[in-house]
Amino acid sequence: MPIPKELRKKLEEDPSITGISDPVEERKIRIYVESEEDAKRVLMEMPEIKIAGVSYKVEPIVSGRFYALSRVRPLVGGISVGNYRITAGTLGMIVRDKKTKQPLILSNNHVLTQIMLGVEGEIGDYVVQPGPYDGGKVPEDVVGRLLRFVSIKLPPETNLVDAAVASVEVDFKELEVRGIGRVNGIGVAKEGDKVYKFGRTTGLTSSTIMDQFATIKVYGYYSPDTYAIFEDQLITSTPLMLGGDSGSIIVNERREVVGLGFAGSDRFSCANKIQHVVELLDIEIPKGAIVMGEPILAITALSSIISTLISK
Amino acid sequence: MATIIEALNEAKRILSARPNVVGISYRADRIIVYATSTEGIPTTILGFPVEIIITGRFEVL
Repeated sequence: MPIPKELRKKLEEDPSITGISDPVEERKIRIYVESEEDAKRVLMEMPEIKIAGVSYKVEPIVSGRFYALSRVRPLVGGISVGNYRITAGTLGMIVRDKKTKQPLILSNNHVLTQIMLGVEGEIGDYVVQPGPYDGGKVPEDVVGRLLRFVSIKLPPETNLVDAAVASVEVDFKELEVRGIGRVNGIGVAKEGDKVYKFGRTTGLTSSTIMDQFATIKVYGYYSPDTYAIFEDQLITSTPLMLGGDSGSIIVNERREVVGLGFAGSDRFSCANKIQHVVELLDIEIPKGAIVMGEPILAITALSSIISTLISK
Repeated sequence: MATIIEALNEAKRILSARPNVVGISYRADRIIVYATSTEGIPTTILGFPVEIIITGRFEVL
């Protein structure tokens, strides 16, 4: 059944409404909105909608804002990116080399190198935006070249980070992340801190730091059943990321970068501490000029996105 | 009495030895073990209680 004209007009005119589903059998119509506040307002304004004489209950779903997995210029954090031979991950953000001040793309080793194919690849490898899975191609979508990475070591050796940087060959917005804004330097994550990320797959999500000293086995390096051990990692209390969100930076409520997301299980997400990333890659993330009172965009729990996707 | 760091080092040995153990951590008063099942995980390590958190294995995303 088509969406009625009046509702389609509402989608076009109300910036907080991000999507509307076709009416479903249970006499419900889902309206996707940016925030919890928008959900309450939509429900107050239109608890029901009549279509062809039939009444449908409105079910607002907080989705955050949807973005196309497409070419984005200037480059900002939170968008699809990848080594030209992998699938796709997330561009964490544009940072600077500590010594030369050269702008750099920050993401994971496994996003900017070819490690998922069994070898880490070579310095100078093409980096494309969007990532190849999202249509990125050489040469038209090349945005930089792999510049350096922290090699992933297998047991008995251990790792601190899954991180790499690439040069930037197109326009960019430094320290800027979709849905979050300009970040404000780096900070230390503590148990109980609320954290946010914006990633290529799930957009803006939030969770809470539940562990700041974890040593974990992470599977998938070099081959699907090979694991690497990472020490001194952050764990969030709920899934903050899904496949393709790797490389997202994790920020706290003061917009300080506290982590670099790279792994997860069915229940938790894992991030490298940003202090290790900065030190091992020799980069800097300076304090930014924050507009006071500017909120991080309304957040949706990843679990609600997952349940929505499953129910579709 | 062993220290929590000594207990953590012992937990690292369990992490390497047991495929169902996918992570370890600690608080001042206990060892935390992330595992896909409780099989073979001791209830104490060097006198410190073990809290088991069940999870699937961690994978790159």
